[in-house]
Amino acid sequence: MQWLGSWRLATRPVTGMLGAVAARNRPRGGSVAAGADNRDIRGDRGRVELIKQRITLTVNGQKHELEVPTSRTLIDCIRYDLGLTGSVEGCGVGVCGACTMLLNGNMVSSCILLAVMADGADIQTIEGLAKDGQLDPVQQAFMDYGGFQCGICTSGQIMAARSLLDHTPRPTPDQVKEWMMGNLCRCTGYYKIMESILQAAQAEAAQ
Amino acid sequence: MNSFRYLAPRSVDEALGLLAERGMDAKVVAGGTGLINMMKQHLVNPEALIGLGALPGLDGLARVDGTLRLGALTTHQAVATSPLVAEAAPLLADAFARTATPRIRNVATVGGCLVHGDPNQDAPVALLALNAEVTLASRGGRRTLPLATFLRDYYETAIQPDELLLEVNAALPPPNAGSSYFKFLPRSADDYATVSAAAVLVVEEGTIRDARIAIGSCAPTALRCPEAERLLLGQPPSAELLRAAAETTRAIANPLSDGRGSAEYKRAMVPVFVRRALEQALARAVAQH
Repeated sequence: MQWLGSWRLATRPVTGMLGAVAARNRPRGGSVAAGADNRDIRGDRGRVELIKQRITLTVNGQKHELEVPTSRTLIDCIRYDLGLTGSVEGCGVGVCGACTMLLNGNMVSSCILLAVMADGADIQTIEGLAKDGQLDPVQQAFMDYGGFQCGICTSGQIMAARSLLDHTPRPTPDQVKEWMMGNLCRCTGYYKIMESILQAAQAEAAQ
Repeated sequence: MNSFRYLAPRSVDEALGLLAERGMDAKVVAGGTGLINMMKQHLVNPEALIGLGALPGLDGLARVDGTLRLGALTTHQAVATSPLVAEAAPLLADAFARTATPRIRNVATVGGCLVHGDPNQDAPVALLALNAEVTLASRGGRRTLPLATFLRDYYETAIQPDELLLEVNAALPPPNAGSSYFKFLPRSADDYATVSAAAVLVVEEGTIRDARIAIGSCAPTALRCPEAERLLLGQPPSAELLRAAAETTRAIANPLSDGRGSAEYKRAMVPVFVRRALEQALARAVAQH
Protein backbone atom coordinates (compact mmCIF):
# COMPACT_ATOMS: atom_id res chain seq x y z
CA MET A 1 0.00 0.00 0.00
CA GLN A 2 2.66 2.41 -1.04
CA TRP A 3 0.09 4.96 -2.13
CA LEU A 4 -0.68 5.81 1.44
CA GLY A 5 2.83 7.17 1.65
CA SER A 6 2.84 9.97 4.17
CA TRP A 7 -0.88 9.69 4.87
CA ARG A 8 -1.53 8.54 8.37
CA LEU A 9 -4.03 5.72 8.55
CA ALA A 10 -6.73 5.94 11.17
CA THR A 11 -5.45 3.81 14.02
CA ARG A 12 -8.46 4.20 16.26
CA PRO A 13 -11.60 2.33 15.22
CA VAL A 14 -14.52 4.58 14.42
CA THR A 15 -17.05 4.06 17.20
CA GLY A 16 -19.88 4.17 14.69
CA MET A 17 -23.34 3.61 16.17
CA LEU A 18 -22.19 3.79 19.79
CA GLY A 19 -20.33 7.02 19.21
CA ALA A 20 -23.35 8.49 17.47
CA VAL A 21 -25.64 7.57 20.35
CA ALA A 22 -23.20 8.96 22.91
CA ALA A 23 -22.92 12.21 20.96
CA ARG A 24 -26.66 12.50 20.78
CA ASN A 25 -27.12 11.90 24.51
CA ARG A 26 -24.53 14.44 25.55
CA PRO A 27 -26.07 17.64 26.94
CA ARG A 28 -26.28 20.26 24.23
CA GLY A 29 -25.96 23.30 26.49
CA GLY A 30 -29.01 24.82 24.88
CA SER A 31 -27.38 25.44 21.53
CA VAL A 32 -27.41 23.45 18.34
CA ALA A 33 -23.77 24.38 17.80
CA ALA A 34 -22.69 22.18 20.71
CA GLY A 35 -24.41 19.20 19.09
CA ALA A 36 -22.57 19.89 15.89
CA ASP A 37 -19.23 20.09 17.70
CA ASN A 38 -19.86 16.67 19.16
CA ARG A 39 -20.26 15.29 15.65
CA ASP A 40 -16.74 16.38 14.74
CA ILE A 41 -15.15 14.37 17.49
CA ARG A 42 -17.43 11.36 17.21
CA GLY A 43 -15.32 8.24 17.20
CA ASP A 44 -12.26 10.22 18.15
CA ARG A 45 -12.96 11.20 21.71
CA GLY A 46 -9.37 10.94 22.89
CA ARG A 47 -8.61 14.00 20.84
CA VAL A 48 -10.98 16.80 21.51
CA GLU A 49 -8.99 19.94 20.74
CA LEU A 50 -10.50 21.34 17.58
CA ILE A 51 -8.43 23.69 15.49
CA LYS A 52 -10.63 26.64 14.62
CA GLN A 53 -10.41 29.38 12.08
CA ARG A 54 -12.20 32.67 11.42
CA ILE A 55 -14.11 32.84 8.15
CA THR A 56 -16.51 35.18 6.41
CA LEU A 57 -19.54 33.87 4.58
CA THR A 58 -22.19 35.89 2.80
CA VAL A 59 -25.32 33.79 3.08
CA ASN A 60 -28.47 34.93 1.29
CA GLY A 61 -27.03 38.43 1.08
CA GLN A 62 -26.16 38.65 4.77
CA LYS A 63 -22.53 38.74 5.83
CA HIS A 64 -21.48 36.48 8.70
CA GLU A 65 -18.13 36.41 10.46
CA LEU A 66 -17.68 33.26 12.46
CA GLU A 67 -15.15 30.93 13.95
CA VAL A 68 -15.48 27.30 12.86
CA PRO A 69 -13.51 24.10 13.37
CA THR A 70 -11.48 23.50 10.20
CA SER A 71 -13.18 20.12 9.89
CA ARG A 72 -16.69 21.65 9.82
CA THR A 73 -18.49 20.88 6.57
CA LEU A 74 -20.35 23.72 4.90
CA ILE A 75 -23.71 22.02 5.48
CA ASP A 76 -23.03 21.72 9.24
CA CYS A 77 -21.86 25.32 9.36
CA ILE A 78 -25.03 26.54 7.64
CA ARG A 79 -27.32 24.36 9.75
CA TYR A 80 -25.72 24.49 13.19
CA ASP A 81 -23.67 27.69 13.25
CA LEU A 82 -26.11 29.83 11.31
CA GLY A 83 -29.30 27.96 12.18
CA LEU A 84 -30.49 27.70 8.58
CA THR A 85 -31.93 24.20 8.64
CA GLY A 86 -33.71 24.28 5.29
CA SER A 87 -30.75 22.52 3.65
CA VAL A 88 -30.40 18.92 4.78
CA GLU A 89 -27.65 16.35 4.66
CA GLY A 90 -28.67 13.11 2.97
CA CYS A 91 -25.91 10.75 1.91
CA GLY A 92 -22.96 12.80 3.19
CA VAL A 93 -20.79 11.76 0.24
CA GLY A 94 -21.89 14.14 -2.51
CA VAL A 95 -24.18 11.74 -4.34
CA CYS A 96 -27.81 12.42 -3.36
CA GLY A 97 -28.09 16.18 -3.81
CA ALA A 98 -30.17 16.89 -0.67
CA CYS A 99 -27.57 19.42 0.57
CA THR A 100 -27.37 21.31 -2.76
CA MET A 101 -26.76 25.03 -2.34
CA LEU A 102 -25.31 27.72 -4.58
CA LEU A 103 -21.71 28.82 -4.03
CA ASN A 104 -20.85 31.95 -5.99
CA GLY A 105 -23.80 31.13 -8.25
CA ASN A 106 -22.92 27.49 -8.92
CA MET A 107 -24.60 24.52 -7.30
CA VAL A 108 -22.40 22.43 -5.02
CA SER A 109 -22.67 19.55 -2.55
CA SER A 110 -22.23 21.28 0.79
CA CYS A 111 -21.64 17.97 2.61
CA ILE A 112 -18.24 17.41 0.97
CA LEU A 113 -17.11 21.01 1.08
CA LEU A 114 -15.43 22.44 4.15
CA ALA A 115 -16.66 25.72 5.56
CA VAL A 116 -13.07 27.03 5.52
CA MET A 117 -12.90 26.27 1.78
CA ALA A 118 -15.90 28.56 1.29
CA ASP A 119 -14.26 31.48 3.16
CA GLY A 120 -15.23 34.72 1.42
CA ALA A 121 -17.85 33.05 -0.77
CA ASP A 122 -21.36 34.13 -1.60
CA ILE A 123 -23.80 31.37 -0.67
CA GLN A 124 -27.45 30.99 -1.47
CA THR A 125 -29.67 28.53 0.38
CA ILE A 126 -33.35 27.68 0.15
CA GLU A 127 -34.07 30.31 2.81
CA GLY A 128 -32.88 33.05 0.48
CA LEU A 129 -35.14 32.24 -2.47
CA ALA A 130 -38.38 33.94 -1.44
CA LYS A 131 -38.30 37.71 -1.94
CA ASP A 132 -40.59 40.13 -0.08
CA GLY A 133 -42.91 37.33 1.00
CA GLN A 134 -43.18 36.06 -2.58
CA LEU A 135 -42.03 32.51 -3.23
CA ASP A 136 -39.52 31.96 -6.00
CA PRO A 137 -41.25 30.70 -9.18
CA VAL A 138 -39.49 27.35 -8.69
CA GLN A 139 -40.83 27.01 -5.14
CA GLN A 140 -44.31 28.01 -6.31
CA ALA A 141 -44.23 25.49 -9.16
CA PHE A 142 -43.12 22.65 -6.85
CA MET A 143 -46.19 23.43 -4.70
CA ASP A 144 -48.58 23.88 -7.62
CA TYR A 145 -47.48 20.77 -9.50
CA GLY A 146 -46.77 18.42 -6.58
CA GLY A 147 -42.99 18.35 -7.00
CA PHE A 148 -42.44 16.66 -3.66
CA GLN A 149 -43.77 13.89 -1.48
CA CYS A 150 -41.87 13.31 1.77
CA GLY A 151 -39.89 16.52 1.31
CA ILE A 152 -36.41 15.39 2.36
CA CYS A 153 -34.86 16.00 -1.06
CA THR A 154 -36.97 19.06 -1.85
CA SER A 155 -34.71 21.94 -0.83
CA GLY A 156 -31.86 20.35 -2.81
CA GLN A 157 -34.15 19.74 -5.80
CA ILE A 158 -35.33 23.34 -5.73
CA MET A 159 -31.81 24.80 -5.43
CA ALA A 160 -30.60 22.62 -8.32
CA ALA A 161 -33.63 23.63 -10.40
CA ARG A 162 -33.02 27.31 -9.55
CA SER A 163 -29.43 26.91 -10.73
CA LEU A 164 -30.62 25.26 -13.95
CA LEU A 165 -32.98 28.12 -14.77
CA ASP A 166 -30.28 30.67 -13.92
CA HIS A 167 -28.01 29.02 -16.49
CA THR A 168 -30.63 27.81 -19.00
CA PRO A 169 -33.87 29.79 -18.72
CA ARG A 170 -35.83 27.60 -21.18
CA PRO A 171 -34.50 24.06 -20.76
CA THR A 172 -35.73 21.11 -22.82
CA PRO A 173 -36.98 18.04 -20.90
CA ASP A 174 -33.68 16.33 -21.73
CA GLN A 175 -31.68 19.25 -20.35
CA VAL A 176 -33.73 19.09 -17.15
CA LYS A 177 -33.03 15.35 -16.82
CA GLU A 178 -29.32 15.80 -17.45
CA TRP A 179 -29.00 18.69 -14.99
CA MET A 180 -31.09 17.07 -12.25
CA MET A 181 -29.55 13.61 -12.51
CA GLY A 182 -27.60 14.13 -9.28
CA ASN A 183 -30.67 14.95 -7.17
CA LEU A 184 -32.20 11.73 -5.94
CA CYS A 185 -35.79 11.31 -4.74
CA ARG A 186 -36.49 8.10 -2.87
CA CYS A 187 -40.23 8.68 -3.26
CA THR A 188 -39.35 8.58 -6.99
CA GLY A 189 -41.53 11.56 -7.71
CA TYR A 190 -39.40 12.42 -10.72
CA TYR A 191 -42.21 13.11 -13.21
CA LYS A 192 -43.78 15.68 -10.91
CA ILE A 193 -40.37 17.25 -10.31
CA MET A 194 -39.75 17.46 -14.06
CA GLU A 195 -43.17 18.99 -14.60
CA SER A 196 -42.65 21.51 -11.79
CA ILE A 197 -39.33 22.68 -13.26
CA LEU A 198 -40.67 22.98 -16.79
CA GLN A 199 -43.69 24.92 -15.49
CA ALA A 200 -41.42 27.20 -13.44
CA ALA A 201 -39.41 27.93 -16.59
CA GLN A 202 -42.62 28.80 -18.42
CA ALA A 203 -43.82 31.00 -15.58
CA GLU A 204 -40.53 32.88 -15.52
CA ALA A 205 -40.55 33.35 -19.28
CA ALA A 206 -44.06 34.82 -19.05
CA GLN A 207 -42.99 37.40 -16.45
CA MET B 1 -12.82 13.67 10.51
CA ASN B 2 -9.78 14.57 12.61
CA SER B 3 -8.85 18.16 13.27
CA PHE B 4 -6.21 19.76 11.06
CA ARG B 5 -4.70 23.09 10.20
CA TYR B 6 -6.10 24.80 7.09
CA LEU B 7 -3.66 26.88 5.07
CA ALA B 8 -4.76 28.99 2.13
CA PRO B 9 -1.73 30.21 0.15
CA ARG B 10 -2.23 33.26 -2.08
CA SER B 11 0.39 32.39 -4.68
CA VAL B 12 2.01 29.32 -6.23
CA ASP B 13 5.31 30.30 -4.58
CA GLU B 14 3.67 30.43 -1.18
CA ALA B 15 2.00 27.05 -1.82
CA LEU B 16 5.33 25.50 -2.82
CA GLY B 17 6.94 26.95 0.32
CA LEU B 18 4.23 25.36 2.49
CA LEU B 19 4.68 22.05 0.67
CA ALA B 20 8.46 22.15 1.15
CA GLU B 21 7.93 22.76 4.87
CA ARG B 22 5.18 20.30 5.65
CA GLY B 23 4.40 18.30 2.51
CA MET B 24 4.84 15.04 4.40
CA ASP B 25 2.02 15.86 6.83
CA ALA B 26 -0.17 17.96 4.56
CA LYS B 27 -2.55 17.22 1.72
CA VAL B 28 -3.41 19.63 -1.05
CA VAL B 29 -7.11 20.25 -1.62
CA ALA B 30 -8.72 21.89 -4.64
CA GLY B 31 -12.41 20.96 -5.04
CA GLY B 32 -12.22 18.36 -2.32
CA THR B 33 -14.78 15.98 -3.85
CA GLY B 34 -12.33 13.09 -3.52
CA LEU B 35 -10.22 14.07 -0.52
CA ILE B 36 -12.96 15.28 1.84
CA ASN B 37 -14.81 11.98 1.37
CA MET B 38 -11.61 10.08 2.23
CA MET B 39 -11.08 12.26 5.31
CA LYS B 40 -14.67 11.75 6.43
CA GLN B 41 -14.04 8.01 6.31
CA HIS B 42 -10.75 8.39 8.22
CA LEU B 43 -8.86 6.89 5.27
CA VAL B 44 -6.67 10.00 5.16
CA ASN B 45 -5.88 12.06 8.27
CA PRO B 46 -3.58 14.93 7.33
CA GLU B 47 -2.12 17.29 9.93
CA ALA B 48 -2.77 20.16 7.55
CA LEU B 49 -4.72 20.94 4.42
CA ILE B 50 -3.33 23.32 1.83
CA GLY B 51 -6.37 24.78 0.12
CA LEU B 52 -5.86 26.08 -3.39
CA GLY B 53 -9.15 27.98 -3.62
CA ALA B 54 -7.48 31.39 -3.36
CA LEU B 55 -4.72 30.68 -5.90
CA PRO B 56 -5.05 32.86 -8.97
CA GLY B 57 -3.98 31.86 -12.47
CA LEU B 58 -4.03 28.08 -12.15
CA ASP B 59 -7.31 27.61 -14.02
CA GLY B 60 -8.19 28.08 -17.63
CA LEU B 61 -7.96 26.42 -21.02
CA ALA B 62 -5.73 27.55 -23.84
CA ARG B 63 -4.72 26.28 -27.25
CA VAL B 64 -1.01 26.69 -27.85
CA ASP B 65 -0.01 25.48 -31.32
CA GLY B 66 -1.01 21.82 -31.41
CA THR B 67 -1.49 21.56 -27.68
CA LEU B 68 -4.40 22.09 -25.33
CA ARG B 69 -3.28 23.44 -21.97
CA LEU B 70 -5.54 22.69 -19.03
CA GLY B 71 -4.74 24.56 -15.82
CA ALA B 72 -4.81 22.38 -12.70
CA LEU B 73 -7.69 24.28 -11.11
CA THR B 74 -9.93 24.17 -14.20
CA THR B 75 -13.20 22.56 -13.17
CA HIS B 76 -14.68 19.55 -14.93
CA GLN B 77 -17.69 21.65 -15.90
CA ALA B 78 -15.44 24.27 -17.52
CA VAL B 79 -13.82 21.59 -19.70
CA ALA B 80 -17.13 19.86 -20.42
CA THR B 81 -18.77 23.08 -21.65
CA SER B 82 -15.81 24.74 -23.36
CA PRO B 83 -16.41 25.48 -27.08
CA LEU B 84 -12.63 25.29 -27.57
CA VAL B 85 -12.46 21.74 -26.20
CA ALA B 86 -15.60 20.65 -28.09
CA GLU B 87 -14.00 21.77 -31.33
CA ALA B 88 -10.38 20.74 -30.75
CA ALA B 89 -10.75 17.54 -28.71
CA PRO B 90 -14.37 16.33 -28.61
CA LEU B 91 -13.47 13.11 -26.76
CA LEU B 92 -12.12 15.20 -23.90
CA ALA B 93 -15.36 17.19 -23.71
CA ASP B 94 -17.25 13.85 -23.68
CA ALA B 95 -15.11 12.37 -20.92
CA PHE B 96 -15.41 15.41 -18.66
CA ALA B 97 -19.14 15.81 -19.39
CA ARG B 98 -19.81 12.22 -18.37
CA THR B 99 -18.01 12.46 -15.03
CA ALA B 100 -20.32 12.26 -11.98
CA THR B 101 -23.03 14.95 -11.87
CA PRO B 102 -23.11 18.64 -12.85
CA ARG B 103 -22.90 19.50 -9.15
CA ILE B 104 -19.65 17.55 -8.69
CA ARG B 105 -18.27 18.81 -12.02
CA ASN B 106 -18.73 22.40 -10.79
CA VAL B 107 -16.17 21.74 -8.07
CA ALA B 108 -13.90 18.84 -9.10
CA THR B 109 -10.74 20.04 -10.86
CA VAL B 110 -8.54 18.63 -13.60
CA GLY B 111 -5.45 18.55 -11.37
CA GLY B 112 -7.33 17.09 -8.42
CA CYS B 113 -8.68 14.32 -10.62
CA LEU B 114 -5.20 13.33 -11.83
CA VAL B 115 -3.41 13.37 -8.47
CA HIS B 116 -6.31 11.46 -6.90
CA GLY B 117 -5.17 8.54 -9.07
CA ASP B 118 -8.47 6.69 -9.03
CA PRO B 119 -8.43 4.24 -11.98
CA ASN B 120 -12.20 4.56 -12.37
CA GLN B 121 -12.09 8.18 -13.47
CA ASP B 122 -12.95 9.36 -16.97
CA ALA B 123 -10.55 12.20 -17.70
CA PRO B 124 -7.29 10.20 -17.47
CA VAL B 125 -8.52 7.76 -20.13
CA ALA B 126 -9.23 10.50 -22.66
CA LEU B 127 -6.07 12.41 -21.72
CA LEU B 128 -3.95 9.27 -22.20
CA ALA B 129 -5.30 8.92 -25.73
CA LEU B 130 -4.15 12.52 -26.31
CA ASN B 131 -0.56 11.80 -25.16
CA ALA B 132 -1.03 14.20 -22.27
CA GLU B 133 1.87 15.41 -20.14
CA VAL B 134 1.66 16.82 -16.63
CA THR B 135 3.79 19.66 -15.27
CA LEU B 136 4.79 19.43 -11.61
CA ALA B 137 6.47 22.15 -9.59
CA SER B 138 8.37 22.22 -6.34
CA ARG B 139 10.78 24.66 -4.69
CA GLY B 140 13.52 22.81 -6.57
CA GLY B 141 12.06 23.52 -10.01
CA ARG B 142 9.67 22.10 -12.55
CA ARG B 143 9.42 18.80 -14.32
CA THR B 144 7.18 17.44 -17.01
CA LEU B 145 6.31 13.80 -17.41
CA PRO B 146 3.94 11.79 -19.57
CA LEU B 147 0.60 11.03 -17.93
CA ALA B 148 1.29 7.35 -18.66
CA THR B 149 4.27 7.42 -16.27
CA PHE B 150 2.62 9.80 -13.81
CA LEU B 151 -0.17 7.28 -13.10
CA ARG B 152 1.43 4.46 -11.14
CA ASP B 153 -1.06 2.35 -9.21
CA TYR B 154 -4.36 2.47 -7.37
CA TYR B 155 -4.47 5.99 -5.91
CA GLU B 156 -0.73 6.31 -6.46
CA THR B 157 0.98 8.77 -8.78
CA ALA B 158 4.53 10.00 -9.31
CA ILE B 159 3.87 13.30 -7.51
CA GLN B 160 6.17 13.92 -4.56
CA PRO B 161 5.05 15.34 -1.19
CA ASP B 162 6.64 18.73 -1.97
CA GLU B 163 5.18 18.99 -5.48
CA LEU B 164 2.14 20.71 -6.91
CA LEU B 165 0.54 19.80 -10.25
CA LEU B 166 0.35 23.01 -12.26
CA GLU B 167 -1.04 22.02 -15.64
CA VAL B 168 -1.77 19.27 -18.12
CA ASN B 169 -0.92 19.55 -21.79
CA ALA B 170 -2.79 17.37 -24.27
CA ALA B 171 -1.58 16.90 -27.85
CA LEU B 172 -4.51 17.85 -30.07
CA PRO B 173 -5.30 15.35 -32.82
CA PRO B 174 -5.08 16.72 -36.38
CA PRO B 175 -8.29 18.22 -37.79
CA ASN B 176 -8.97 15.12 -39.90
CA ALA B 177 -8.86 12.77 -36.91
CA GLY B 178 -11.91 11.03 -35.49
CA SER B 179 -12.14 10.45 -31.76
CA SER B 180 -14.53 9.00 -29.23
CA TYR B 181 -15.00 8.20 -25.56
CA PHE B 182 -17.23 5.33 -24.43
CA LYS B 183 -18.31 4.78 -20.85
CA PHE B 184 -20.19 1.63 -19.91
CA LEU B 185 -22.73 2.53 -17.22
CA PRO B 186 -25.05 -0.36 -16.40
CA ARG B 187 -26.23 1.22 -13.12
CA SER B 188 -26.77 4.98 -12.89
CA ALA B 189 -25.66 7.89 -15.05
CA ASP B 190 -23.47 9.43 -12.33
CA ASP B 191 -21.57 6.22 -11.59
CA TYR B 192 -17.96 5.35 -12.27
CA ALA B 193 -17.56 3.30 -15.43
CA THR B 194 -17.75 -0.48 -15.41
CA VAL B 195 -15.22 -0.13 -18.22
CA SER B 196 -14.37 2.85 -20.42
CA ALA B 197 -12.49 3.32 -23.68
CA ALA B 198 -11.11 6.26 -25.66
CA ALA B 199 -9.92 6.14 -29.26
CA VAL B 200 -8.32 8.54 -31.72
CA LEU B 201 -7.91 7.53 -35.38
CA VAL B 202 -6.38 9.37 -38.31
CA VAL B 203 -7.20 7.91 -41.72
CA GLU B 204 -5.49 9.19 -44.87
CA GLU B 205 -5.75 7.74 -48.36
CA GLY B 206 -7.58 4.70 -47.09
CA THR B 207 -4.94 3.85 -44.48
CA ILE B 208 -4.84 4.27 -40.72
CA ARG B 209 -1.99 6.75 -40.12
CA ASP B 210 -2.38 7.19 -36.38
CA ALA B 211 -4.21 5.17 -33.74
CA ARG B 212 -4.37 5.83 -30.01
CA ILE B 213 -6.44 3.74 -27.64
CA ALA B 214 -6.82 3.96 -23.87
CA ILE B 215 -8.98 2.06 -21.40
CA GLY B 216 -10.18 2.78 -17.86
CA SER B 217 -11.71 1.02 -14.84
CA CYS B 218 -9.98 -2.22 -15.77
CA ALA B 219 -6.48 -2.02 -14.22
CA PRO B 220 -4.69 -0.20 -11.36
CA THR B 221 -4.42 2.83 -13.66
CA ALA B 222 -5.92 3.93 -16.94
CA LEU B 223 -3.92 2.20 -19.68
CA ARG B 224 -2.78 2.75 -23.24
CA CYS B 225 -3.22 -0.25 -25.54
CA PRO B 226 0.00 -0.40 -27.61
CA GLU B 227 -0.63 -3.78 -29.20
CA ALA B 228 -4.03 -2.78 -30.53
CA GLU B 229 -2.55 0.48 -31.85
CA ARG B 230 0.27 -1.39 -33.64
CA LEU B 231 -2.20 -3.74 -35.28
CA LEU B 232 -4.12 -0.82 -36.77
CA LEU B 233 -1.24 1.33 -38.02
CA GLY B 234 -0.68 1.30 -41.76
CA GLN B 235 -3.72 -0.89 -42.42
CA PRO B 236 -6.86 -0.10 -44.38
CA PRO B 237 -9.70 0.18 -41.84
CA SER B 238 -12.28 -2.61 -41.81
CA ALA B 239 -14.78 -4.00 -39.33
CA GLU B 240 -12.66 -7.18 -38.96
CA LEU B 241 -9.49 -5.19 -38.30
CA LEU B 242 -11.13 -3.06 -35.61
CA ARG B 243 -12.56 -6.19 -33.99
CA ALA B 244 -9.17 -7.94 -34.03
CA ALA B 245 -7.42 -4.89 -32.56
CA ALA B 246 -10.05 -4.54 -29.85
CA GLU B 247 -9.71 -8.21 -28.98
CA THR B 248 -6.04 -7.73 -28.00
CA THR B 249 -7.05 -5.38 -25.14
CA ARG B 250 -8.61 -8.27 -23.20
CA ALA B 251 -5.12 -9.50 -22.35
CA ILE B 252 -4.00 -6.26 -20.64
CA ALA B 253 -7.19 -5.79 -18.65
CA ASN B 254 -6.73 -6.66 -14.99
CA PRO B 255 -9.91 -5.41 -13.33
CA LEU B 256 -11.27 -5.84 -9.80
CA SER B 257 -14.68 -7.26 -9.02
CA ASP B 258 -16.98 -4.66 -7.48
CA GLY B 259 -20.56 -3.48 -7.56
CA ARG B 260 -20.13 -2.41 -11.18
CA GLY B 261 -19.37 -5.93 -12.39
CA SER B 262 -17.23 -8.98 -11.72
CA ALA B 263 -13.64 -9.00 -12.92
CA GLU B 264 -14.58 -11.64 -15.47
CA TYR B 265 -17.46 -9.57 -16.80
CA LYS B 266 -15.37 -6.41 -17.04
CA ARG B 267 -12.61 -8.31 -18.87
CA ALA B 268 -15.20 -9.48 -21.38
CA MET B 269 -16.58 -5.96 -21.79
CA VAL B 270 -13.21 -4.27 -22.45
CA PRO B 271 -12.84 -5.45 -26.08
CA VAL B 272 -16.53 -4.72 -26.70
CA PHE B 273 -16.21 -1.09 -25.66
CA VAL B 274 -12.83 -0.63 -27.34
CA ARG B 275 -14.40 -1.90 -30.58
CA ARG B 276 -17.34 0.52 -30.21
CA ALA B 277 -14.96 3.40 -29.51
CA LEU B 278 -12.89 2.48 -32.57
CA GLU B 279 -15.98 2.18 -34.78
CA GLN B 280 -17.23 5.60 -33.72
CA ALA B 281 -13.79 7.19 -34.09
CA LEU B 282 -13.51 5.69 -37.58
CA ALA B 283 -16.97 6.92 -38.58
CA ARG B 284 -16.05 10.41 -37.38
CA ALA B 285 -12.66 10.31 -39.14
CA VAL B 286 -14.34 9.28 -42.39
CA ALA B 287 -16.93 12.03 -41.96
CA GLN B 288 -14.09 14.59 -41.86
CA HIS B 289 -13.19 13.88 -45.49
